Amino acid sequence: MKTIALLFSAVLLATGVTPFAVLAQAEAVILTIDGAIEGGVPRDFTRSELEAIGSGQIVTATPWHDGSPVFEGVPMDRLLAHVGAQGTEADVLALNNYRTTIPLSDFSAYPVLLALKQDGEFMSVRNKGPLFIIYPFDDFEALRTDLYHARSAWQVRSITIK
Amino acid sequence: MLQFVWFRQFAVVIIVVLGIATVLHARVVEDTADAVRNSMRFDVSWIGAHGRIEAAQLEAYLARYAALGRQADADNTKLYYQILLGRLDSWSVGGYGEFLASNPESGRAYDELMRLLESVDAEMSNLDSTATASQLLDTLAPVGATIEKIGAEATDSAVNKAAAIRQTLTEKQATQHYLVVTALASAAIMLIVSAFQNRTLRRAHRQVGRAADKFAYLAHHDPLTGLANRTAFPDTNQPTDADASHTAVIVFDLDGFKLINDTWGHMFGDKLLIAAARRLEEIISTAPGNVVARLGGDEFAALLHLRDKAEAQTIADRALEALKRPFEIDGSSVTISATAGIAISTRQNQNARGLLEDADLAQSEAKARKKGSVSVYDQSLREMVERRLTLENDLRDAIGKGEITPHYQIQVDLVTGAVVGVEALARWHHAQLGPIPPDEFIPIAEASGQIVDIGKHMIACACKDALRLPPNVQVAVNLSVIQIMQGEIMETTADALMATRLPPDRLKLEVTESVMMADPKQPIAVLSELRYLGVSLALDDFGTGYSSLSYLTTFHWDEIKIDRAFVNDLDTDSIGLSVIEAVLVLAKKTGAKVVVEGVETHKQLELLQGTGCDIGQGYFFGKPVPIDMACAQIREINKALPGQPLPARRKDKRRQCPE
Repeated sequence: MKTIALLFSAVLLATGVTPFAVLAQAEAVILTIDGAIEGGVPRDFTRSELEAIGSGQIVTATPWHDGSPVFEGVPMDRLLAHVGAQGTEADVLALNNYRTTIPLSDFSAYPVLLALKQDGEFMSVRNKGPLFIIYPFDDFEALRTDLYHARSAWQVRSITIK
Repeated sequence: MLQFVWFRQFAVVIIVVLGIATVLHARVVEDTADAVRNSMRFDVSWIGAHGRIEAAQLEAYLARYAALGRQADADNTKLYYQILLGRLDSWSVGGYGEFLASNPESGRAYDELMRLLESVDAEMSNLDSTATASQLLDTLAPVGATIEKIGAEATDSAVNKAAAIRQTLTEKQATQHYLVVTALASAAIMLIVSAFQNRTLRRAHRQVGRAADKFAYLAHHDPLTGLANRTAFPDTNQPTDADASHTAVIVFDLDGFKLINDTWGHMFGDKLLIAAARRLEEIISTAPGNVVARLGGDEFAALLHLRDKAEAQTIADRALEALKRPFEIDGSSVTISATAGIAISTRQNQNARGLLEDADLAQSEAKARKKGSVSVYDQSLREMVERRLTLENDLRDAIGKGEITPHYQIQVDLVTGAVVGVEALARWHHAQLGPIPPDEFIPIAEASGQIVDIGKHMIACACKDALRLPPNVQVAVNLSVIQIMQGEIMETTADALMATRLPPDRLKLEVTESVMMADPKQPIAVLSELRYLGVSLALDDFGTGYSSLSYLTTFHWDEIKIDRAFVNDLDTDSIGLSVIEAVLVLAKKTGAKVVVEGVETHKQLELLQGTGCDIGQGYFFGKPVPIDMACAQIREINKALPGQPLPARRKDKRRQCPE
């Protein structure tokens, strides 16, 4: 699975279908979910498709921001339910090739958000967009550790369910 | 206990130490956690490394585009430009921001880097020619080196901070270590001390237990003989033999033990008791469940479980035989006998304690009857004892209530037929029980000492009543041994004579020969004093018991009264007559008159008249009657007499004792 995801990412970059490129167009694909999901076929999502799945909001400070921004986006549990994820882990790959593995149990234990907006604005790549996994750090002390900071990937491009 | 006080203080100290260690430990752990958190925050080298990679990636795509002119490389260049800017943005906040703020050189380098990167924003947005790319490569050439420089400094700073934190952590760990060791050592010392304490406590416990056992033993055993004691006795009524359908209790009392104790000393007495206990055990403890107990003093009891009631008597007899065998104690041989009472369980009385009471009763009865004998308890014995108790109680008030009165039996001159005297006999008419025979209440009165009061009362009554009789009629009153021994008799007699003004020679005091038995000196002294008072003295019931002819000579009696036993058999037995004749001969020699008692038939009278006896008394002449009737009897008899009243008696009362 991991290999497939890597290959897919490589193809994505090689073909020039990058989020930055698609941002210019109205409905570019910004997220691909593959692996152990319903149907077994990778699913692509545009921003509006993601917004249609559901919305949530987290107000929290992070180690990477000043103050406590308001994050809005798709709740991870809703997203995974939407694709019928059946595994135990999510391999998250970012545009900068940052890679992290998140246990799916995190999403049932905490209202984790796949954020699209910060303070009402869609996030640019420079601003760690277009997708940023945000944990409610302020609400749970247990989350304020490097473990969860590491899982909180920015510039998310694809998620592989394992 | 000093130990316990010490332990309490020690425990308090240990607990305080443990408490302090725990609090300090908690605080140190918290500090340690803070230090660990700091170490995480300051791990900035990792963040820096990402920046370097992204910068290198940007440069690589830019170079490829400049060289090859492919649109994809241009796009990726644009992407990584944004990514790198985003990265650098994040350097200004959080841990990295702190680092930059505290390192002015890196801060300046960062600011310059941002300015440089942002200055090419327009070119990057419209990256459409390889020439621009080449130009950008030149412009951005210092980016990699600057990021490296900032990163290196950040790493140095992080390493130094990490070292400091490690130092702190090591120190905290050492403190924690000490605290844990202190806590563990305190706990260990506490454990050791409490283990020691426990041992002491266990030992104390054992001692208390042993003491309790000892007290329990002492409570149920006689310390002298080791036998069960009275307390333990009723607990043991548990027959172990199923065939033993009867329970019996035998009570043994050593006869004359007090005398042995007084003569040989208590040590000797104790040894005798121990030896007697062993002999009883040999006889009694042959069957399971049988118990010998010492009730106290010289009294023992045996609890027996029997198949046959008759066994009790056999065992009692064997025990008495065993006790009769001489005891060898301290080189001396001593012989003692015992009296026993038996009580056998009945449907009404199954209880060992009840049986013990009954056996005790039987023993007392046996002792009263005959020392060295065995008596078996039965209901009549209980009734007898109860009656005796009632009488003993009621006797106290009997005189006051006027229940005890004298009856008089006349004494007749066998030659002239005239009444020459009356004998006063105490009669008790009990309000509920009716007339109580003298045989019954006199021994009770003697045992309880009330005989003294009764005697006093009788003398007083007799003296008073005598005044109603013809002047030639003497009144005889019985004296008890106790009255003689007790010493009040002189006063009593004198008082009665004074009060009534009865001439002393009209009063006759009768004593039985038992008065003379133990040590005749004292009674003879008392009798001599009485004689000096002027009263007559008669030896009563002569011929019974340990009659000794010496009694006839050791004191000068005015009168000898021959026991009725000799008279009773006169009709058939000539021996009795011979005895009377022999006594008569002796009496005449000492100048004493002879009175025969129990004359009931005319034939007896004739025989006695033939012997020359002076005076007769008995039913033939008249029963004991109240004074009024006695007066009437005397008037009757004297009226029928042919001659004149008898001449006055000789005045020869003031003879001295022969001694």
